[in-house]
Amino acid sequence: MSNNNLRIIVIGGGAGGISAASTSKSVAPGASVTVFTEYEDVAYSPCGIPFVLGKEIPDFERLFLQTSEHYASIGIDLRLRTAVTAIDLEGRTVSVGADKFPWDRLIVATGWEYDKPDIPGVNLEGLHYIKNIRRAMEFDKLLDGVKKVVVVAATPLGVEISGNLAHRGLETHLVDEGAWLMSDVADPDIMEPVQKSLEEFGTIIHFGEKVLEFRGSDGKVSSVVTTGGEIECDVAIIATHKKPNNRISREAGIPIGSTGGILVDDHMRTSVKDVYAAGDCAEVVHGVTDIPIQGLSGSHAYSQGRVAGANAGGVDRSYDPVFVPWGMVGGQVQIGGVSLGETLHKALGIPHFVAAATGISRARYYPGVTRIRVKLIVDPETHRVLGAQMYGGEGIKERADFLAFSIKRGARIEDFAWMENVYSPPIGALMEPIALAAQAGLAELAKMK
Amino acid sequence: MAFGSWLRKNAEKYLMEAARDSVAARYPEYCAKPYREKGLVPFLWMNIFVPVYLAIPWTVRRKIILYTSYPGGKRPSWKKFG
Repeated sequence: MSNNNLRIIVIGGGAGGISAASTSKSVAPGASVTVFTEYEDVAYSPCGIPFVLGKEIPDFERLFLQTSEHYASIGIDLRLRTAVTAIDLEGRTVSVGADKFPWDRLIVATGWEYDKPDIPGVNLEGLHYIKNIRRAMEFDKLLDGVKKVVVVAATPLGVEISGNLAHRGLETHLVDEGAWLMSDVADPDIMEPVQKSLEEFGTIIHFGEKVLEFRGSDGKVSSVVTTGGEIECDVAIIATHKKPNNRISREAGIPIGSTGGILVDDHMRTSVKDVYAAGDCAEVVHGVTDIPIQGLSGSHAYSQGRVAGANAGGVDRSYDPVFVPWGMVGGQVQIGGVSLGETLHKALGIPHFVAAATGISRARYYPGVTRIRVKLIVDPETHRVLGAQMYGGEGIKERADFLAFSIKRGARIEDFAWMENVYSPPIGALMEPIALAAQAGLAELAKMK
Repeated sequence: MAFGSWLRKNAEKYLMEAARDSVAARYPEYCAKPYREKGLVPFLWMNIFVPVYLAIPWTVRRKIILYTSYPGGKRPSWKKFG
């Protein structure tokens, strides 16, 4: 079949789905490309929602990257508010209620959903999940009449939203079972300045508390009961973990992996002929450990969508295992990293040692200089750097990207210790903090011998 | 729930708890007391599974993880960097 006569159907209008559709259309201009999404909008940045709610960004309109009309103008048939209810792999159709739509290539980009707590009161009014922009717009108006908020779970979203709501002037409580913020992904020494910054904003953090129940009156939440007591609130935000939204794929018989994500190869192909998957509904391979992982960033979903879209359109493109550079702002502190931190290395039992140092972001005399803490996780045998975590006032994202690129190419601690670096008083210090951490690591290694 | 998913979910939970305890001991000044479930099941995971898991060399353990991560142990085709 000529690629120009292909019927390509994409399920999902998030970063993975939209990039898949756009790429398919660009590599196979004659193909018919249809995107089904259950939501009212596509092509916006959900990651920006906490910052609009915190009044850091003045309005939601800025989060839209493209209009629906743009996709129509490039020939993509965008079906908004249209939920696909079933996939028929044998008949090669998708169903929307009683209507069936045939496909030659199918791209599943159904994204993620919240892992909702299974506790009493979870269906009360006033419990909110940050995901859809229309619901966030409604929530933003509601927040104007709210005084007290409880945020459940100190995940990256929980930390972002807590800081932003406290910044908005609301009494904000953050409840988490862990001993420090984001304890699933980050280390305590990295999160400590974020905790301090959130507390300076006025966030009240409840560590080591499990949420037991949402209580309410007249069907509306009025308090959150935890193992530590009862916290009154006007609304609660559930910021629990993301899990793959794979109900229809599972029902259709598309193989699912141990993470709950759809199994794909490096071409984003499932094991079902002509069916691809991309974004948070799929699992990909972690570059350092080789273990499948799921639930990454919007930029990962976007890249995976491009690969799936190109292959569905007949062009051969592959996706590498991921090294997961990440970064975010918690309170007023930037944090970030690459691959796994110290806690996750310990959990997996991967042999490692820690090389850490604190440097500065600019010349020490230059106004605006901030501390930067860099922690490298190193293989004691090969000296390869396996991961990193950092905090600072600036320059964290760039360091995370650089470290991810270097780690992917097998850089060793010696490479970082004697790296060249930019020195310019307003933007870079004489000694690069990454090099300082690596030099500290070499000193540790010398002691081990 | 498939065996691989069940194993991964529970293994992750208790290995993370043990790792967090270990990291908290290294950085006590930055850590509060975490919530921990009590009872026989958590006890068995923490006192039997975790020590046994960590006693297996990483190279062997990684193979076990990969085998249990994919149906029939069959890994889809991906480039190798590790």
